[in-house]
Amino acid sequence: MRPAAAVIALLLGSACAVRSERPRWETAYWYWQHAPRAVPVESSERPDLVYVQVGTLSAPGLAASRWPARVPPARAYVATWRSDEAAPPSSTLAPVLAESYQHVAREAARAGIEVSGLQLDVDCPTRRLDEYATFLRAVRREIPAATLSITALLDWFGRRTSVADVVAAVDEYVPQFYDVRPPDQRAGIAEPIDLLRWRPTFESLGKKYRVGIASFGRVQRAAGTPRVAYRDASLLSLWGDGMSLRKAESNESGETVLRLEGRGRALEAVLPTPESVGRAIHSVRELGGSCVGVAFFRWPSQDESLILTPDEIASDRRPIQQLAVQDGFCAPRACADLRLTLGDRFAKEPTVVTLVASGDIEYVVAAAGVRLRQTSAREVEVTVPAFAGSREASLGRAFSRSANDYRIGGFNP
Amino acid sequence: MRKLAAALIFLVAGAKIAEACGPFFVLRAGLELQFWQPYAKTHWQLLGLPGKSKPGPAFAGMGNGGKKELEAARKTYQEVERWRAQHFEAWDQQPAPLLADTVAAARRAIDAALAARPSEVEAEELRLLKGKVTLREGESLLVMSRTKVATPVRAGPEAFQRAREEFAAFVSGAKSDVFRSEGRGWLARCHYLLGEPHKAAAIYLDELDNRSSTLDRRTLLQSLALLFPYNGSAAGLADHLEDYFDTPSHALYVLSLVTNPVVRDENERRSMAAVGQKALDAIERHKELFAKGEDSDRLALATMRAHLYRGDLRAALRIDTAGSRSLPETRWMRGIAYFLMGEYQEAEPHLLAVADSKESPERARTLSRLGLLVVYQKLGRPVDQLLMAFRHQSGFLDPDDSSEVNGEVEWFNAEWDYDASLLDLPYLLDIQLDDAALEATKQALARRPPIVLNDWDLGKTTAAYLVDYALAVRASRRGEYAQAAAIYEAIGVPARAARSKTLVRLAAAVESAPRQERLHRRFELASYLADNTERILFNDILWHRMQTLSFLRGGPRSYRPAVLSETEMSGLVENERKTRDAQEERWQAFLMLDGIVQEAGGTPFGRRAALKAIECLDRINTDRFEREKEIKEASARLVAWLAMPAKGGR
Repeated sequence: MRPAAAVIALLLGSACAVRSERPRWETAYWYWQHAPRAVPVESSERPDLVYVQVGTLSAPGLAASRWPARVPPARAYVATWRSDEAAPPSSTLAPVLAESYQHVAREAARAGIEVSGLQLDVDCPTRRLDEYATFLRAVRREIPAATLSITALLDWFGRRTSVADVVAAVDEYVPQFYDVRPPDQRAGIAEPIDLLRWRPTFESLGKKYRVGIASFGRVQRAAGTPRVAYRDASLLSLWGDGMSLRKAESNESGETVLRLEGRGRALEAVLPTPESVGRAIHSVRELGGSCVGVAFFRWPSQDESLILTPDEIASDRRPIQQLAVQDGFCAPRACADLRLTLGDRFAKEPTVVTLVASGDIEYVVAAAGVRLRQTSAREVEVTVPAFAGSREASLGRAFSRSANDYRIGGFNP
Repeated sequence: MRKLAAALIFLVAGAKIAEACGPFFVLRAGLELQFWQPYAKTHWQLLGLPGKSKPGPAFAGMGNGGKKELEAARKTYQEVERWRAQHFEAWDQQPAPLLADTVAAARRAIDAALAARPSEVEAEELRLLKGKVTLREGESLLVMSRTKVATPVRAGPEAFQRAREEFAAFVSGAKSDVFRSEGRGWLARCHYLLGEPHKAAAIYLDELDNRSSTLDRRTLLQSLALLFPYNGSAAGLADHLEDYFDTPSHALYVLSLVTNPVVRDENERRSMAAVGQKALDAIERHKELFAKGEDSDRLALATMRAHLYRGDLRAALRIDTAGSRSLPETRWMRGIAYFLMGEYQEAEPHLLAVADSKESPERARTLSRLGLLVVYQKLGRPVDQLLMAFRHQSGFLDPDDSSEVNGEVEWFNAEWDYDASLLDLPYLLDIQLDDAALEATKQALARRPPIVLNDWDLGKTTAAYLVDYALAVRASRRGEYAQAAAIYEAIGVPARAARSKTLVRLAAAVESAPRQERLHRRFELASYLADNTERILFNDILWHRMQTLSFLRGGPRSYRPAVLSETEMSGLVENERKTRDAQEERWQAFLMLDGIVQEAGGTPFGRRAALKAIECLDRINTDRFEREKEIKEASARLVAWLAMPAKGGR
């Protein structure tokens, strides 16, 4: 019996050892700067890690790198630099980067935030990965104590590339499963994760990694080269501008793809969905092994409507439909600006609510994209188009002789 | 009962379908609160964007021809431009050049071309190219990932300050209008990237005024839109307002922002409201801006719209320019202002002007006609109201072509709910107007060319025909069957004429019958009515199964519109009740038969009359008629009466 017991104990011990070595699953977000007063959207979620873009990886970019005034809440932070150069960064930038990193970390510390490492987001050509590895080793020498992370293009993981050298030089890497293929080949952003292909590829590198997945959408021209993307496009404003929905379908990743036409234009909108994100998360979990979690691109700012919020990703619960009534500061009449928080901002059907006023409404000026229909002297039925996108929809301005109270009388989400 | 149930289901379903798929009809449009509003014009329409951009001359570095050194310089500039717009993607197979190399090559090529004794124009193009290379290099260095957009926050000042200086120097010395105009555009872009939006706006607005600008209007307006994006930065205008009130087009730009505010938080919303008021106050101080031609007219319209948007209807009316006074859009807004203030007499001429003007887009004319229906109702002019309804219906069924008039797009950019048959017309003919008004309308129609309409069932018909038919129906309802017969014969409705004559005979028989037979003659008259439902007292050519949808009481739009007073509302509801009673042959028959039952008592004849009366009550469509309670009680009473022992015993 003793040998058997010993074997059992050994096996159990091994199992425990394996369990204790398996990394903890973490959720991370990128936070990207795009406007001077960008404010991250509020959320009850507190991810394990946020990669905060602080600058670009060039001499002037490093000099101008700053810790943003506002960042999403998180348990840990990493400063990220982005490079668009069609080349690996020169090793001469390594000390400049180190200095910039120290500067940014001090700025963050003054805001009460400890920066635990840095990440480099470099779209290095695959054939020059060896040079990139050289650069990364130089950075490592300059900043030995900080966690060094890199993003990775899927193209790097082909045969006979130097990706192993690159990965060896860092503490973690984040392969990005989005925007992998040219847009004219496929309408979509998120790339399905083929477990049979990627699990052995990543495990062979023997380094912890996270998987970058898309939680963002995009509106772009439906045809032509290049497919111009409109960063500031809001679906609701497009509906108000005379665009009509021609087609709505799901792609292989579970994203919703809309075709919009109107005013001589044809646009394509790719929208993230709980399904597309959910599928990606499930696949990442199935990777197991050295995979330590998922990183979402990205945490939205308050003025961005095509990105799922952390709350939307974390939970099936939708916001409660609410009406905000704000004084429009008119005279001599009273006027109220009405805004509706949408329960499902990517609903496939229009959202219809009835607004009830405490007094007669004289007239309304409807907001673009929204349809109003009077149902009584003090009631208006409001229809917000399907796929509104925005979390809040401006309904318009209502005028009355004296100030009214407004409430939602009933809704049909 | 089954037929009744089926009809009921059909009607309810029809109403639901109408509401869901609609609109199948337009009804009381002018009484709805979303009807009276200024047209929702886009920013670009306010500023007078032309329908299509015209292609301008090629920008510096993008053309063809000239010395080979110039061509070479253009090519290298295009490489810089290409790098910025379309540089490395993960799937690119070819190695992309380094930015520094690309820029250096462009500078060398430009210097070489300048040294090769170019012509004056070529030299200007090359000098402009120098600035463009500096600008593109700056943008390329700091372009954002995945969006390829340079914004002020990402722009390092040094690169763009250099570019700004180069362009400023170029513009001050340029001799070519085309290149100077282009240079100003790039200078404005530098101001934008350096966070100097007002300097940029000044240049763009001046280029908008410049008829020979090389920058097309759409580009300029897009650029202007970028200066004050949706984050409420337009509030910064408050500190620079006076700068913009030097020309009508500059002032118009500010007002267009004020009347189309999009803000993201409460602070920005409040500040935009304050900017709006300041802008309107500034307009008051600069009334001279309203006397400077076409731009002044647009400014006047924008100012009116701004006042309407702030609820100050009287102030909107005070805006008056000689040029804009007669514009249909101006008149529409005056009509709105007067209507909403309850000054209907003053609203009328403006709405008529829009309805009558060929310069008005079709939708504007439609709205004016629909608005006038309410104006005439409020002014107590039923004949004008009915004539306008005929005019509208005639226009709807045979509209002028188009959503464009004279190249101008429709003013109405919201959902268009008014492309449907006018249910007000049968309502006026059958319910709302009294007999005197119909007679007066008949006289008015006789004095003008026929108004021709296309009816779903009748095909082509005229307004006069519909009025006569309505008068004939009303005569029948009053029991004046001979008059009804005469009208039906005159307008060629032989079936109804024949039935009216039958009724004449039956009614005469009642009058002439000996006393003991009178009840039997009345029974025959009542039975004839009951057996001819919707063929005598009901106006069968007007409603197309939609009468119930039109009712203020009991219909799907059963509410008092704010524009109608309680008295007006109760008057219309009373008319609806009267019409429901008068048009229901079975109800009228029941009333006669009930009287017969009272008089005949428990005789076999009386019982026969009671059975017939019960049959009438059972077959009344209460969805349209209502009076469910009375019908039920009457039926129960008669049934109970029948259950009593017959008179004379058995």
